[in-house]
Formats: sequence, structure tokens, C-alpha cells
Amino acid sequence: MRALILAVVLAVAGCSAQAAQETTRTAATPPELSATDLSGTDLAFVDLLIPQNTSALAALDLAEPGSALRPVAERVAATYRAELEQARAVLARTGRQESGQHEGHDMPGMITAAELASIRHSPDVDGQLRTLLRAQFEEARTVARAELASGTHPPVRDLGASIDRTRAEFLALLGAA
Amino acid sequence: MTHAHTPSRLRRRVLIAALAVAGVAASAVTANAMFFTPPKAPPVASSTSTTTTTTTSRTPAQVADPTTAAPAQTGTSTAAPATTKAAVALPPQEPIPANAVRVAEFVAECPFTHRLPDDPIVLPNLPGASHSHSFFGNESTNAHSTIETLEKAGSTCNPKQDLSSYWVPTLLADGQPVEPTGTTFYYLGEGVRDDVTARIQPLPHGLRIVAGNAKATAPDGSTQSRWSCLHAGHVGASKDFVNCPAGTMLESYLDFPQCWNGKDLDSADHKSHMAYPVAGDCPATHPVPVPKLRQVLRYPVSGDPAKFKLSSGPGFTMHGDFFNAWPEAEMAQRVRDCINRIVKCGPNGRP
Repeated sequence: MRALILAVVLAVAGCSAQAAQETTRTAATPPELSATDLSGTDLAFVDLLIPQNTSALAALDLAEPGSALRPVAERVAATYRAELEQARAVLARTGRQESGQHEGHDMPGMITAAELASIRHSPDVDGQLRTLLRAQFEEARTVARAELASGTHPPVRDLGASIDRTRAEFLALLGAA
Repeated sequence: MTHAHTPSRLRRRVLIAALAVAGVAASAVTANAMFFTPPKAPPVASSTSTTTTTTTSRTPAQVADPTTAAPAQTGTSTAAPATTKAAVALPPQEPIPANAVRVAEFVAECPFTHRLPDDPIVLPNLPGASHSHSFFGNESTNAHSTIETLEKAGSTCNPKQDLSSYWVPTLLADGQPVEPTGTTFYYLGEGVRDDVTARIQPLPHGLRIVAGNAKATAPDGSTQSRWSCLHAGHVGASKDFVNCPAGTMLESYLDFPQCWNGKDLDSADHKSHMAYPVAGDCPATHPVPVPKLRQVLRYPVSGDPAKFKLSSGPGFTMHGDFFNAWPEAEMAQRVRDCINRIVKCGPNGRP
């Protein structure tokens, strides 16, 4: 059931068929092999990705209905949700708990509760949202490239490659929308 | 702020810097008095002829005792090498001088080195993934640092033998980074009973600890750090920033946990391999007493705390990271001579 939901979300998100295949393949990998495959870097990357995407989803919800930003926000949100599923699947397969160590943390790539409140009260919701999203996309790219440079676990590296690529697309969409 | 004010600001900064030097000269006894009761009368010096210490993987021949071998670890727990007896050759122990101050303490002064948005403990090999950190001690620390890279680099510490890396979130005053001019790292035997102090072990080589709560949402019980004012004790200590009178300095105190689980150099949350003592002793889960690292940072700022922020958020999110790269013999000698015997030592590890 979970795999089905994941597949549907991936399809909706427009992720490449290759990524979907990768997910299917690694899901079949015996769990005892995976536990030691996740390096400290892979784990830190996943641990950071989950609260970053979660915080960004809360912000994406605030895009004004009917605005030029709204369809972009919806597309980004679908991808972020798919990535969350992938990240949690990796943790589950490798027997890890979500650490929650960065949840609510004021750090780059994280949209904080204070920033969310500020967007809500802004006279220019979409304008402020664009600024925060741009910074979020750029930071996500920086971290994804670091994972590609140093991470070892193939499914996490795939996630990194996908983030590097999609954030570049999202930055272009922000510019055009 | 106009340019006309610059000369007087400069003079004031020089004065503040001078105060910082004076502050550093003040001993941790002052620090102790702020939050803790001073140690009781010193015990008779204990025998230390069988000092126990920790080996590293560089000396595999010494890792011989299978009964203390660490179990296989998963997650980011990093197993420590097995402990063994008398692995490090130490110089003969000198007698305690008659004028020795009976406080279990040695110290490293480690000035600011650099800022980076990196964290080799929490975000290993992910440069740029962190909020801004201010680093002290080892001059090479970055996202890729390991015990091996730290050992090859230089340090700003006095003693220069301390190659450890220490880091905290950067303090911002009106959005501009401010670095502490007083950066003292005390290693203390207090916080446990004297008989426990007498059997404190050196901090294991390569140990990593995060202390404090980076994501605290309120100045509550989860906050370990304290803010106060140097030379203005009447302001009192607080979990959040305090308003220091002009001419004094804002200071931050943070005590690291001093009980080790005896197995892991790190853990998934970078905390659970360490614990704080309970009722003067280390709990059964973390049975190995080690020196308590007390980080004391003094910033050349004062006044309205509304202008202050940490890169991690409000004052109560203060936290500290420690990556132990003391050469084993240097730490073992200090633990034997200063901590176990309850003698106050300086940076050179002597009374």
C-alpha cells in the first residue's frame, strides 16, 4: 500500500521513470544489507531534508490562490512530498528513526515559524514567499551537491541528484512565473 | 552610527579587549561560584600509579582486552577503541606544591579561529548545510574534519598541544557577527563526589559531544547554557541574553556532560553516549566519569539584549560542540595530576 502511494506520488510529481525504478529496486534489497550502507553523511542529509521539506511545504501552502505563483507552488509541493516519502523509506529500510534533531531549527534552507508568520501578515505574500523559496532552493542545491560529493548510499545519492536537478528547474520557474 | 564616533568606539573596543584579558585571567573559581557550590575540603592525594587511559586505533597492539571491546554499532554511533591500562607513557608525577589551590581543574585558552556554515559532527561532509558557526582551537575545522585531519593541523590554544575543535553558533549584534575575546575551556573535576573525581578518566581521543539545545523554543529546563555579565555579577545569570552594564562584557557559560557510556565516541543524536551526573555520581548507563568541559565565552558587547541573536535563534538556543583531539598523553597527565588529585592547574597542566 505504502509502495503504491509512493509510486502514485512519484508519478504525480513528474519524477523520472529512472527514479521510480531505483526506488522499486532498492525496496527489494534485503534489509540486512542496508543498515551499514548509510554513511554519517547520508544520514545527516536525510535528517536535514525531512524538516527542510516539511517547513517549505507549510510555506508553499500560503501561495495566493489564482496567482502566478500558485501552480509553481503546487508543483514544488508535489515534489517535496515525494521526496519526504523517499527519505522516510530510506530510514525505514535501514532501521533508523527520524531524529527530529533539526525540527524547528533556525538554519539555512529551513523556513522558520517566525518567517511563516511574517509571510501571513505580509502585504505581498507571494513576493515574500518567492524570496524565501529562492533561498530555500539554493540552499537545498548546495546540500544536495555536498551529498553527491561525499555520500555513499545509492538511494540517498539519487535523491541528492534529483534535488540538485529539480531545484534548478524550480529556480527557473520562479523566474518565469 | 556615524564615522565621527569611530575613534571613541575604537578606544572603547580596546578597553573592552583589555577587560577581556583580565577576565580570562580570572579563574574558574569565580565561574564555579556563579552556579555551583565549591568543592569540599580536598582528600588525601590518591595513588595514580595505575592510571587508566584509552587507546586509539593507531596503537592496535594495545587494544588487547576482549572483555572491554565495544560491541558492533549501527547508526552513527562510533565505537571507541577498547580501553586498556597504562597505554600512554606519562612523566613521573610531581608532588603537590604546598601553595596549590585545591580545585580539580586544568584549562585551555583557545581564541577564535574562523567562521563557517559547517558542522563536522552534526552535518559531516555537508559544507554549507549549517547555520554559521564560530570555531575555536584547531585552525582546520570544516565539514570534512575527522580526528585524523585535526591531528595534522595547528591550533590557537594555549597549550598549543590541544588540537581539539570547539564551536558555537555565531553571535550577531544588530545582524553583525561578534566573536568572543575571552575563550576559556575549563576541564573540571567538580559535579561529582570527591571519590568519583579521584577515578575520573581522560576524555576518549576522538570523542564528539554536542551540549546545549540548539532548537530550544523557550528558556526552559532543556536549556543548559547561561548568560551573564563579566564584572557585573549583580545582573545575575539567565537562560536568555542579559542586559550588561556599559563597560562590562556579555558572557556565556556551558557545561558539557561528564559521564560517558564507555563505548561510543559519538551517537545518532550526538548526545546520548554522554550523560550528566545524578546525585554526585555517574549513572549505570554512563558509568565512566570524565572531566566536565566548561566553555566560557566573553563577548565584547553589552547593553540592550534586543539587538542580540544567535545564528541558531534566541539566546537560549546556545549550544557547544566539542571534538576531542588532545594528544592522549597530554590529557592523561592532566587528569592524573590536576583532576584526580584535585589540584588547580594552568594551561601547562601544572599547578
